[in-house]
Amino acid sequence: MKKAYIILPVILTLLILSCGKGFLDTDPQGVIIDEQLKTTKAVEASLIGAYGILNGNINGTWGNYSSGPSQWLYGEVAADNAHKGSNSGDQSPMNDIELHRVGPTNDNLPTMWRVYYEGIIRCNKTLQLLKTVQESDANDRFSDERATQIEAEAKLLRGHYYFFLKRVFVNIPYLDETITSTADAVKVPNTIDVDPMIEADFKFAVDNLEYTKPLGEVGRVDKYAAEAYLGKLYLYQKKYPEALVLFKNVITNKAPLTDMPFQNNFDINTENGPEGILVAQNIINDDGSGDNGNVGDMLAGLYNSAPISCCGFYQPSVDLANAYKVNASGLPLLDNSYRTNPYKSDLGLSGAAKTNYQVNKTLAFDPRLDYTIGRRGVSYRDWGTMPGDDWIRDPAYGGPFVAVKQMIDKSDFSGNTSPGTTNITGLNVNIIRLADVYLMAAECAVETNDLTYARNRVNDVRNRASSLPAVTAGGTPAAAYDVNPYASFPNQEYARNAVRFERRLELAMEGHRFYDLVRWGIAKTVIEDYQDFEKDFVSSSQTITFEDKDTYYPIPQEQMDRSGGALTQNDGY
Amino acid sequence: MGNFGGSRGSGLGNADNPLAVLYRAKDNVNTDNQFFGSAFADLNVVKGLNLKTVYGVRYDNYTSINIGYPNPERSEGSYDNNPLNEAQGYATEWTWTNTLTYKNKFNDKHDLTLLAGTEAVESQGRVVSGTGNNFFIFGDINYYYLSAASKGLSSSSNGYVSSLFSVFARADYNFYDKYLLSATIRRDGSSNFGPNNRYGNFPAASAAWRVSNENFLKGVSWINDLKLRAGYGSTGNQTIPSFQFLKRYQSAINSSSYPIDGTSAASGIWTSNYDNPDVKWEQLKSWNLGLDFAVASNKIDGSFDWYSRKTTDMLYPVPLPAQGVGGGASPYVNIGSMSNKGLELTLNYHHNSTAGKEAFKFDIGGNISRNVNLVTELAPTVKQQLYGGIRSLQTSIIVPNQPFGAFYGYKITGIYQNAEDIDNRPSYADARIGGPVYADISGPDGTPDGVIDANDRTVIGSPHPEFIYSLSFNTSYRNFDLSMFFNGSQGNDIFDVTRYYTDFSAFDGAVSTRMLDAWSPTNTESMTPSPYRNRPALELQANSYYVQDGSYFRMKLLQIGYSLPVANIFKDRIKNLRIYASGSNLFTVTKYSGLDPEVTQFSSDFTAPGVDLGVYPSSRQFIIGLNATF
Repeated sequence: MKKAYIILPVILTLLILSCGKGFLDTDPQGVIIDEQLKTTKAVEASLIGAYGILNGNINGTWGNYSSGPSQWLYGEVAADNAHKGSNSGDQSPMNDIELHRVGPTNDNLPTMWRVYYEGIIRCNKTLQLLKTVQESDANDRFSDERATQIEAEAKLLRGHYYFFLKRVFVNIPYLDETITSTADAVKVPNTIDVDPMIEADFKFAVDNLEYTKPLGEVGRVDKYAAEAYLGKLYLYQKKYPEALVLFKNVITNKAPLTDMPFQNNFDINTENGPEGILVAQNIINDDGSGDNGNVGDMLAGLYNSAPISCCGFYQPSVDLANAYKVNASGLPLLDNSYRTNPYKSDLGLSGAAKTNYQVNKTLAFDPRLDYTIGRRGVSYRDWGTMPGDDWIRDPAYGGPFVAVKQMIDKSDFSGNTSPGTTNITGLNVNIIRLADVYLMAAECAVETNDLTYARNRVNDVRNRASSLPAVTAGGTPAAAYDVNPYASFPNQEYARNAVRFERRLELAMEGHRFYDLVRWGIAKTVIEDYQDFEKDFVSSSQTITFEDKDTYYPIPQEQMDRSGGALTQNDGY
Repeated sequence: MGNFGGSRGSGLGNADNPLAVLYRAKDNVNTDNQFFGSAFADLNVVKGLNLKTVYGVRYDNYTSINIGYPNPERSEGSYDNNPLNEAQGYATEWTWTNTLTYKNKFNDKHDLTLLAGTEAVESQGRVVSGTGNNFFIFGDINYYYLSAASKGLSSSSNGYVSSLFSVFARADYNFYDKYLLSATIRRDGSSNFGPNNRYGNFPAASAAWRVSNENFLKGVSWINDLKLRAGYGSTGNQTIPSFQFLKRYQSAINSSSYPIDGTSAASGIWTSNYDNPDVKWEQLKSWNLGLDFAVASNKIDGSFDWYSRKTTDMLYPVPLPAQGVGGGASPYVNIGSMSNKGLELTLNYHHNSTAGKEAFKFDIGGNISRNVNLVTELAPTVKQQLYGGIRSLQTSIIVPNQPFGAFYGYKITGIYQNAEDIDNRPSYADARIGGPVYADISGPDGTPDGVIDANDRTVIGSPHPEFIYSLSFNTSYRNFDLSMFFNGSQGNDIFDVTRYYTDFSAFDGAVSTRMLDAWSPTNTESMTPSPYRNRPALELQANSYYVQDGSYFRMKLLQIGYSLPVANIFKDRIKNLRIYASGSNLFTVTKYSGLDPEVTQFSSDFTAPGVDLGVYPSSRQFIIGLNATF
């Protein structure tokens, strides 16, 4: 009996000693480890993850504003199209972006940086896993065709993520799939130009994707996206002839733009139509969570009693509204004379004049005005008549206008807005759409002096705009809508102006404007001039000096601090 | 518009009404049932040799229900947000210890204990939680079940498994209660580390000499007890999240899914956690010397201690740059070493006069200790580590030759008085009249360059006190008794984050009355920057305006009691009946302007000591009570 007592613990002790290693080898819970990823399924899943960053969001909802695929903050608020909106205290570091006095600690910078590096890491991981799977001798491998297609999809996405980062930060570290260790990745400096690598990725995608979507899935990237993006890269590099070839490929292989209604690009029922070239897919998850929704634009939810009421950010400028004025021929006022006697809705009125304000329906406007800008007295989508200040957080600060393109119809709210946070919607965001390609092609044609081609493309865009249904105010059209094609482009200078102006009117509030101004080399003149004009209407604008360094942004201080010296700050910061 | 906010006030911003926050928490229920027990077998093998095995189990079952209510008083509040979060989980742990102990006394002098053993611990837990929103019946706790939610249903679960295994040996030797020696060696293994770094070895030894038992002191009557102690010990720390040594991937709807077909989320994967294959045990090695004494017929006693502790391979989740980890979690690394050196002194005086009926007793005690903390070195991959991030602030830093968690930012040397001032003094982009002048500490070349930028950040305070102290006083006279306890801290700084809102107006909301004395053209002596919403971003960075002396002296407790003369009344059935009144936290002497100088610490990625986020202050309590002894 006594012996048994001795032996039992001794045996058990020895048992533990002998299997000590095994005892400490526990398994991770609810996560996946490398050994479990050597399958085709894992490669496809990693690619889906790589697509997942197209919506500018890793996870969570609040806080991912500056990385939104719409680039509303860097692309529009920083330019002459929009104000941050809300009030002066809300997200005040965004005021510094609007006024071009950004420092390295601005909290909008690390968000952009982190999200798109996450996208790049996911692309690289996909390429690594693809290589492992294809080089293994297991049966679970892709056909060569699908393997190449996956590589092309991942590389196009990677090129896009690098392009977005490069536009904002210029000097960025480049990492591809050959860097596998975390320790090596963090040491890469930001001293080489990433353009050649973006170009190589886009070229690979052009060469290996078809005009049909891979696996027939609408969210995937195809040859249209690859050609358009490679062309866009060339356009940014001022390689106009090379870019024009690619844009023409896209244009000739697509149906005519005039067959595609403008408003379908901003309607949740018609998204993923033929005009989309590169589109960030957004949905509200089945459980109502908004992480896969349009979180980048969520602050643009309107204010107070508006059906989607949130924060009241992203308000179109007075200058933009007036840019939609047309002359007697239905053409825009290219000489900026639209600023004379500006239209400013009910801004600055008080008392009875304010209460009794009626929208003047006799003003001549391009019809795209009311598909871009919400203004008092005019129908706002199917939400009813826009009541003015009641939907605006601080009109004296952000102006009298609200944005339209990133909102959805009231009749579509159900299932397309996140419960409790209805300002997150399932509306897709266009990163490149066909009209953009038309206008980029027109721009290349102007620079290569093919003014007829340029005019035809601009007129395609304008002709389509002329078929827009009138937006009403109290049952009748809210303006004397008029938009006509150009009869001629008398010279290159005129043509250049017309194309640039058309780009603003067509693509306003879609995240292009600031980057366009910068690559045209006119950011300083346009933005200083705009702030001077705009400051008479809203307190968010003021006279500013736009310096060279304001054409790009500083490397986030947080990333500088974390890099242990690997990263170098941009000039001027 | 809600019963708390009245109507939504202009400019009051996005803050919750604190009373409403309390009220809205009324239906939250958290329960936690813990069960623990152990069984052992102890076998006396031969005289003095025991084999003991102990098996202990802890089981913890917890549930929580949280109901959120609309918060319309906020400027971005909601009228219809009404979520139910419900969670149920368990945590279980077993510990199995086997020891072999040999204990003997030789020649009535040498007292020897030898022990060898093993210990295995396995912990495991799992929790499931669910959320639902929009309930048909509002505010009725009986209706709140997840299946009654009409929107926003989601569920999740997670869990963990971890294990520890140790082998250890120990020897204790005691000679006549005069010389005491003890030595331990243990080898600990943890599943938290990779195969190469799983085990750590941790030796310790201590010796004590009870001098008062020596013959040469036997005749010294005023010394009642005198003991000298010395020790060295090393211990390991492995309390980090599991599997830091592996890259981990997740397939999660919110992080890696994408509606690739345009309508529904296809699941993908992403790297959620990054790896540090080299992560290993953090070690604490400490030396200490001490002295315990009691003199003058035990009227005075006390102790004195000196120690030097060195923490090596400190475990810290150094945030890596996004080019390496994207949005995933950075692994813990062994970031460097830290030293703590200090002195502690305790002194007590006991008075007890039992002469006659007027029994009078009192005890006075005091304790003072000083600790000097210094980060001595950091791993080659880490130059310095800023942390404690709240919005655009980073409050604290880990950097060699500074205390752990020193406050880091710009030092304010004045206020820009006029335009020439901005031109003539070091300045930054968009510096303004009425804005803070920051000290020009350095530049890109390591020397002051007249430009204020990130190079000019410096240590602007330390959360570590020069010394802390406490005083206690207990007395009784006849049937009355009185006790008091005071404590204090001297020389520590506090980083008052609440000034981000109340003084720098980072958001709409109430501001501090300090702003009445802010700089203005007619109040040029003020060192408080003038309030200005359109300020350059640099003004909102961590700077010395946030940092204040956090020294305090506080009366923690005062208690007065009276013991009723009950002996005769209840015939000894009640031995003692005492009524008392006590008050805690009665007064505090401090210059600190925040809510409470006894700031706990703020944990972001890591503990940031002395950072005040405006936590709920210590309450002042008054208690009247009755003690009865049967």
